Amino acid sequence: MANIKALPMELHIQILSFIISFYDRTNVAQVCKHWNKIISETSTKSKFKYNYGPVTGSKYPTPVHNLLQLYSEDYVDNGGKGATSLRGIFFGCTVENGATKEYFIHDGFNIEEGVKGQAKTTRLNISSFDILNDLVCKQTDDDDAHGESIGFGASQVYKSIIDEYYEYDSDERLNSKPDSKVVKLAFDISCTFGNQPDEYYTRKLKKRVKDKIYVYETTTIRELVERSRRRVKDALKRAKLQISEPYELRFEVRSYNYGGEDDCFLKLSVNIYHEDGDYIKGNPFRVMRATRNRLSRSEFHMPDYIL
Amino acid sequence: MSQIILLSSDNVEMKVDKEVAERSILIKNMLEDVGETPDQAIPIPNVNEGVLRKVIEWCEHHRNDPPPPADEDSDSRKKSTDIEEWDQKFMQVDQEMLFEIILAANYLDIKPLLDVGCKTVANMIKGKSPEEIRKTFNIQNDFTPEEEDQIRRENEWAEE
Repeated sequence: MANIKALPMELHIQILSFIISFYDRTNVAQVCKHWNKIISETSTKSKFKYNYGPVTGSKYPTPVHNLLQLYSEDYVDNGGKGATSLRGIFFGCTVENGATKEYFIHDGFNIEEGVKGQAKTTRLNISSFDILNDLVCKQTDDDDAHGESIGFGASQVYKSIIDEYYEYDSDERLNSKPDSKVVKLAFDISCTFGNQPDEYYTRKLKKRVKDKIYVYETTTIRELVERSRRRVKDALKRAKLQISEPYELRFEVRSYNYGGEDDCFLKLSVNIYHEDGDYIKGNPFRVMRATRNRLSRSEFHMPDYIL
Repeated sequence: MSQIILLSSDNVEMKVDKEVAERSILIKNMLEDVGETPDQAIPIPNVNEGVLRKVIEWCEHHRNDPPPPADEDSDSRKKSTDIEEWDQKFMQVDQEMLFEIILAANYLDIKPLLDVGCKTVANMIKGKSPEEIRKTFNIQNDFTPEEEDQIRRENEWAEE
């Protein structure tokens, strides 16, 4: 009697190749080991740049999208574990005396040494960040480009700016006091990218998170950071929480892809790192959730965070 | 129009137009190798009468279809799970027959039929939870509780 188990491996692969939506692939990966393996191994083989094509009619965040393009060659695979592939960047600002002291931008994962998720951060002063910001957020005149590339020239300028500044290992710095209490506030903004309209995913996500999903539009990265800083400040005040300064406001942009060259899921989180705080290790989302749970248990009021 | 005879695994002979039978690349290549229309029945050892009749029914309906694109990974083929109405009705069979058709299409190398079969199964998967998928296809959950927990945690960030 034929059943699905009677099918050879290649037919399982073929069937699952038609499962392209993010959530369906997530569910499939949880059915059995066999399918988990297939989904893992067929997770994206493509570079990010192919996954970040324009979505007709969708309001994707061009500045972040452009920023990701700068790293499009630095694809990082997490080894297929959990049926995901991820790649990320982060950027943000350090807050001192209630104001922005400096901006920083994550300078790619250190993959040469085989250490995934370890970050080198480049510090930029405000004026340099403005230049970077202009580069990244510059809108192209070419309608066909859809803002997907800032161009070779701009990229070179960007890299020359980065080269002027020193790098440091944030892991090393933040792990220097391993027993310190981490203070992190997490807000999530989820967007979908890809070659298919994102309305479906957005609708589904909204259902899942009870409408607490924000697809954001922003004009510049600096504005994004600054607006966030002010909101976080307000949120802390409302929650009567105090964080000793300086602290970092960090945007983490991660992409998950469940094999689809079509589905690329981008999650933007905003975390506050106390200077004594540790660095997120392992699955950042797991830590983030745990952190949020802890905060919600302490009745922290999560502000409406619409960027 | 010349006809050939196919012999199912349960020894039932079926007369089929050569053009229809040649929707199967396996049979087409076989006939090309022989060089002329054979008088004797062509054995199809892996496909029983019931399934072979269904496959022939599909081939007859699609006898005038253009050949599938050579590029197996063509985007249009991969992305869409749309199935045309006739094929949808054709695939309204029990699971056993569905998987028999898929196996037969794979064996006989009828890619469009294989696609329809795989898409049908994919459509049965879509929108279901892991547990519902298991139930639908009678798949055993072979994750240990620890593994299950780990996978759930890895995915819950997107599900909250």
